[in-house]
Amino acid sequence: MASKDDYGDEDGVRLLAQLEVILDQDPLIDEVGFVHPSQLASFHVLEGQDTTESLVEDVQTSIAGERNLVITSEGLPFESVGVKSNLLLVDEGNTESNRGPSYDRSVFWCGDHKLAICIPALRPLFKAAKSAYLFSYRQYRILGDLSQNEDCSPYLCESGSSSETLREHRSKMDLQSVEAALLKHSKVVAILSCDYASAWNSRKQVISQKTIKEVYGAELQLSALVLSYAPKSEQAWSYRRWLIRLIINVSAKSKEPLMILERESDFLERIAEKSRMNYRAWRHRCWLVNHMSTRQVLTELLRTKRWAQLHVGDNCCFHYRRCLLLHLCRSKSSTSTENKVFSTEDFYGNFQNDTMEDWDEPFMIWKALWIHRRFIFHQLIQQPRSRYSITSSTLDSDISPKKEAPTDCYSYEQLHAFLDEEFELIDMCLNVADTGFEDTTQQKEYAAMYKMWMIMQLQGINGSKELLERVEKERCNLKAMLEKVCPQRAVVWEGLFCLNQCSYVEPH
Amino acid sequence: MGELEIEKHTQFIMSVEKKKDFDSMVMEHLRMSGAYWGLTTLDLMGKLDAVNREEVVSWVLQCQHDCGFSGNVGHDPHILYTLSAIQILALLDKLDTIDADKISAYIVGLQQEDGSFAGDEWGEIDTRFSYCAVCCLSILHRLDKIDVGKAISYVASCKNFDGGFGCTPGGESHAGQIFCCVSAFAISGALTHVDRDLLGWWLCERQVKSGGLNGRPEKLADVCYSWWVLSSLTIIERVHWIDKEKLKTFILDCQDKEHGGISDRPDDAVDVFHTFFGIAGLSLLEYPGLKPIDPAYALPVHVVDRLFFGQPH
Repeated sequence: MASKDDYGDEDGVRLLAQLEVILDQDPLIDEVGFVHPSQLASFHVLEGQDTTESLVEDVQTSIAGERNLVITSEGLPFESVGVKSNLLLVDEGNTESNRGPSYDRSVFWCGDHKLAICIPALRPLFKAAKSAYLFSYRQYRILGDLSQNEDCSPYLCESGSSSETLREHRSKMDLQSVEAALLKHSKVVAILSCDYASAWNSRKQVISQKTIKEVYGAELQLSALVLSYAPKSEQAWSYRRWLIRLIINVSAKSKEPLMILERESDFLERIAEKSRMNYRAWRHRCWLVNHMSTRQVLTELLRTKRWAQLHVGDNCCFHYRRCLLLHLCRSKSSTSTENKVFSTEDFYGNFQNDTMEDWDEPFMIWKALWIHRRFIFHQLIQQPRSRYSITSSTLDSDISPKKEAPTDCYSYEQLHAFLDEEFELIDMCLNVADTGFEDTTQQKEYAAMYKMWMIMQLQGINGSKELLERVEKERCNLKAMLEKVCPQRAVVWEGLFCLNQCSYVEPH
Repeated sequence: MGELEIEKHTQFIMSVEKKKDFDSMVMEHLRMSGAYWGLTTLDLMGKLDAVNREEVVSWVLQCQHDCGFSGNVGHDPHILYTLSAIQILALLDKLDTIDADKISAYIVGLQQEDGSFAGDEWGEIDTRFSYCAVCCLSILHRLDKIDVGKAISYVASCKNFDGGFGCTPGGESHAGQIFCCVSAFAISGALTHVDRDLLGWWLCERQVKSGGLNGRPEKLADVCYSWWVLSSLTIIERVHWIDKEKLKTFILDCQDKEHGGISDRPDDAVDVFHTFFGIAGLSLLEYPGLKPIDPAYALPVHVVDRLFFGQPH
């Protein structure tokens, strides 16, 4: 069939029926794309290049092999990936009628659990789907109202044993078929118009009455399908959260929630690869942290460390790590035995690992890393202020001696040593040779901003006289550094630090 | 570069209505917000008379459910579209066509135990919805119907180490969310929850070399952030921390001077969303020929004045 650009309403109805059959026959479809007619044609051409012979060989190999097989209702085994599923229903003749569900090849291509729809057909398809959806939803509402209607007088139904009314009985059967229609049509609407909230809401109304786990799995699959082409779809993400909350509520005591979280983590990593710094995806990932065990949080930290090293500019990943670290901070203060697995050393170790011990100099051009460093610094100096006035020989007389600091605090000496390291790093970055590339300019600016950050944070803490003097000295040196590195931000640092007022005087 | 093409943008907005292609169809669920963007832009440019007000109001009222408003006729209600509807009616001075108590009751019903707001009956929480609630009720002069203290403390709990705000506690700082949180504070008289220096610094770091603003670190500049970052900076009195001239130039570069409309960045496809935010941004930058816009209510100042100070003499 030649491709058309002009489909009418009748075409829409016909195509809707075909699409619904395709979706029904392959519940494993995990990717959908809207393509140009020429692209669609090329999928069919590539498919046609597989001869029947090589297909039979593939089937035999896969039977002999040990990979996961899925048995169809026809009894033919095929791999769940790698072989075009609907083609395996062919016989030697390789006729069109044996190619699985028959559909308009100028509009659809389906194989390998992937679905392509040609762009010119989308409008009539959507019109038909929306119309069918609205009709089935109206029926669903009517039946829902009917079943709640208490006016009908009770009498025995045909079986003679049940006390439900005939009307209720009939209504239950109708409800099932109307529900099925509603789910079928709303699915297409959700796929074609991913943020059509009402379609997703209708599904919530139906699904919230179900308790079979396979149903939830299928719904997560639908959300994933939509996210395959619309990874920023707010409704698809929101639906996913709604489902996970439902699953957790329904199966709280089982291992189901933990398994869900693990699968979500894999899924989200794939999305993160495809859709860079996707706010909604990472927001979802941060939301999952609330439901994670400490062990899972630690696993995630390990996993994202590697990922972050490969995607250093991805600020979202670092933010996610911050969520994980903060979650550990909160768990640390709780008394559950599980959390005792994670010792104080581990806690600071994790923080310090994130200050890039493993990161080499080339990474210093990435802003996301500097921002992460700001967070680490902020957290490390947020510890109880009393420890900065820990007994030492230089202690100011009006600060009363404190008892020995608990082991999980940063001591006075440690703090100064830490500051030394940080200032050294900053100086190293500020003094890097100009290559003429933008990278080195940016690196200097990021280092300068980090120093500003440090001073700003340190100004807020209650420290010893020595520390405050050190901070004031650094603050006064800021102006010269900032004038050199980022003069365009003068109005900002003047606003932040009142750098024209400098009370520090070098001791003679 | 150069001038703002007011006539072209007016024509573009009027034409959006008539589009029936697939891309327009899949936006129909948010038509209420689209209408708010289009109408407010027209008013800022002094071109609201091009629109049939009665027709607009009649359509808006068709979207009213027992409680809130939906994005279009036959769609489910949501707090986002309830705000857009109220903003439209405020713009057109037709707030007397609705039952303010009913709408307030809907919004009050969406407030959770912890002070946060759900978007609708299905329970998704987001600080955007807190903003919608506070802004809407303020316009209806019924802010006292919710627990404002709890609403504010929930928003405050979404503050991050960098001074910014996310969608939920611990959510990544994002200029759009920051606008919602800061505006919610402003409307409720609770700006003390904002560390103006820290947040101002985060916001001014959004300006990139081209002069445009991004919404988060390492992202590309986008015209819509000209609104969200700029209005936040205006509210916390730190607008002078960015280079306004460069931003102005960036926004003007995003215009389609031939067909009208503004896009997210130069030479991309235009849409009414970015047209609104570009014009609103220019208004905050006091571009000549545009009416001033209120940074918290995102409505022209004369509309906000009318709401709170009565008709001007």
